[in-house]
Amino acid sequence: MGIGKEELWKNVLLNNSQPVKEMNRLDVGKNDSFYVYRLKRNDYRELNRIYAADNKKESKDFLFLATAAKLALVDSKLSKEIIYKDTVLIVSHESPELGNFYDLIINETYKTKFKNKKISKANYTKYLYSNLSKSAYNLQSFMFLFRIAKYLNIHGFTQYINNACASGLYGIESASQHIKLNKCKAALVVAGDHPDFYKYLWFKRIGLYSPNGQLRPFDANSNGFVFGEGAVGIVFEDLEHARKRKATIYGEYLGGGFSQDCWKVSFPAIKEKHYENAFVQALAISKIKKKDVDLIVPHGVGNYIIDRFEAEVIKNIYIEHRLPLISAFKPYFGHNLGGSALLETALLLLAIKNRQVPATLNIKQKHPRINLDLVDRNTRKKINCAVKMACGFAGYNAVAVFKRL
Amino acid sequence: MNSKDSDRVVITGLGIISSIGIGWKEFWKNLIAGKSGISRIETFDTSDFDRHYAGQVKNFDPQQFIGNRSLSHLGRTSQMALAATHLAIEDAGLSYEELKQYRVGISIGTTMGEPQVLEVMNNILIRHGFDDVDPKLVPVYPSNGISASIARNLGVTGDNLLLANACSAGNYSFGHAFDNIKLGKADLMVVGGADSFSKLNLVGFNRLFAVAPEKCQPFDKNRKGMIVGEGAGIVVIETLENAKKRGAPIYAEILGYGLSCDAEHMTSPEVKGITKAVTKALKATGIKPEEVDYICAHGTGTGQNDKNEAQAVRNIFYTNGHKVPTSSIKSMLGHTMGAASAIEGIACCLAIKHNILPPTINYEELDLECDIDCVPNKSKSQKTKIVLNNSFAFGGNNACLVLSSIKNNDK
Repeated sequence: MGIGKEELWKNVLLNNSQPVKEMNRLDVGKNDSFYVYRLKRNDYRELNRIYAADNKKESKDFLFLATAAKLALVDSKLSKEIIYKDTVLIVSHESPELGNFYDLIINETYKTKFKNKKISKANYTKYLYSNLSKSAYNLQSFMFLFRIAKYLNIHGFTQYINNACASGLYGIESASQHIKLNKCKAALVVAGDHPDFYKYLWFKRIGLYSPNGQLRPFDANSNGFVFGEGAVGIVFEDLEHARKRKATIYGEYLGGGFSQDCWKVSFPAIKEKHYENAFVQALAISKIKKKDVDLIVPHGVGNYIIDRFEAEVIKNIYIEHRLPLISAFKPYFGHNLGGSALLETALLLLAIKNRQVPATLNIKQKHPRINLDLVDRNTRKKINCAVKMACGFAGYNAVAVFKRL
Repeated sequence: MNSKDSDRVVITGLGIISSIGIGWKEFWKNLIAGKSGISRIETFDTSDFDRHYAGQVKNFDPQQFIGNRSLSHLGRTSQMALAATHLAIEDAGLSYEELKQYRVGISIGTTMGEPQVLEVMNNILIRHGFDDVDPKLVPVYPSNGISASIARNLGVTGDNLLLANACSAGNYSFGHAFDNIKLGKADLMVVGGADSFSKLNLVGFNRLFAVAPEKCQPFDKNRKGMIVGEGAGIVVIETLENAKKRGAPIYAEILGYGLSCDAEHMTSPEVKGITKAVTKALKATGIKPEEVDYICAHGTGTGQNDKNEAQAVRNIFYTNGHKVPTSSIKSMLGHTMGAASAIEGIACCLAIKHNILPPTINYEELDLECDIDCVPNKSKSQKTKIVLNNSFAFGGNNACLVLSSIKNNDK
């Protein structure tokens, strides 16, 4: 959907976003294809221009995060001194560089098989370890923390959070905690992902990936989600500090509710109330009444069971109240995994700022059992209070409340 | 009731899985005896490598702690973390039924999470192709599975955070949990760090020429690097008020912590960054350098780390003839990565409890650049009230935790 907030917002309002189909080599003579939301070729050029690091070839994972972080800092207009001394960097990514690591393994394996090299299994493993040790080392999370901090000259402190697809909201809560405890003046939360073919293979095997690339949250014809690549950075700071320096304020983070399912890795505990409890907790901490919420942005992954469960959570909360507007944002940029919750929060904040709720794309037919009304066209509305929900793998539930100022 | 007790955060249960002992009693006995947990690697053939030693936990039987059904869904890091959790909860005098009365949170640190799982998948993939990789293995790899599996096993549905701040991750988790208790977000926190040894770790660190051939010699002139280790250190923390009410054992009070980010060099901590983390910790807790009785060093045994840490310690603490004993237990355990500062936090608690400082073993020759009192080779009895737990990880992740004994009249 473009690089930078203006382009993102402009493209979102066009309500036109489609994934591309990619063919990948699995083994000698064995291919598979999958749909994925990719950046456009011009976008990559623009990323490299913004990153501006002497033509150094960077991995997509790093390039996305570093550039998003830079864009957020530039947009915040924080002083260099605050960035240097008093900013905390919080990074979220589920499995940094794993895709590149597997690309290398597959390519090395393919190369060896293709060339019909006579190589024993034991020697082959040794060969791989000697050839891939750099790539294996890059799987360490601190690489990103260090490199982004160095790139942006951040010397406060750093934090790496991995709470699956809910990571972004956990990152926001952590940022808020550090600011409230006066440990920093500002916090830059960055999250993203470069979902790869190998993750796709797994999601396909467990039946969660859309075979035709149609991400339709809560829809009768939903058949799974589609990955999307990218990253996002959001700067948080103390309200008084932001007002004093006349910063652009997109919204106020009022608080969040967090819970653990204690159930399956790849499925929410649909018979339990943990996700609902996180919602209730978020409203209580934020001192917001449910009737005052104008917009809910759910996780909305496009899987019938997960969507139905999430819809039930929302409907249980609003059992005696009219539902607020509900719009699911994944069809704009796909499922960005570890970055998804933060990416959708950024769009939510733009919706607050621009007084307009983007439609949920790809909705054709309401699912009779889910029966959730979604915003089906861009709707002008002053959003005073909005809620972002995320129910990540491994049972991580998070609900965050934001307010217009 | 002292009203301030509700604002004070204490450690009330210790759980440890290490190469020198399972459970804190065995660990402590061996630690103060200067026993080394470093041994020849037996889990895989190292003939292709030029390094053959590690701090592996060799007598760990996860079935003693975890049911068979759960075991198949857990990587080794999660298994050790979970076992250490059970030990910590038992040590805190908590029953699993009792846990339900409290708002319990979990905060766990690690580096890579489950590298052994990745290795298994890689081997299958290379030899047989993707179709043979068991889909159940894939979700075991992400590091967020460690804290989730603890929650699942305990039935704890509260706040749960996985921090992957390299080899300082344990201290970062302590910091987060401390804040959560202070802010009243949880009544009890299960906190710590865990990491398992793997071929990937060995290859990764060895690629940096950071691994010593046989032994780890922190602060020694002839130090040749670190030894990769593994383990888990988990503690239970709560308010002093709650601990007193339960009649729980109180090992130490967490006074506060300091964090900093070098952003200068990927693998070498800077004196400036170390100094910043330590001075932030002292400032946050109101402790003066001369009040510190012991520092549990990061002390990896690498040239640069030890030199810079020693310099920072000297700059801050070695004034007016005052010399704070600063030992590295990595000399015995190796570098347990994400578990390191959590295990070292436990060592600090026990140093306070027993008034004994663990030694830096393998110390042979003074390095003038590391001229500190590293408690060489033999543990030392000393009244120990205020303790610092240092961790200065790759990527410039610096953290310093301040612990204190609880005065007798506070117990």
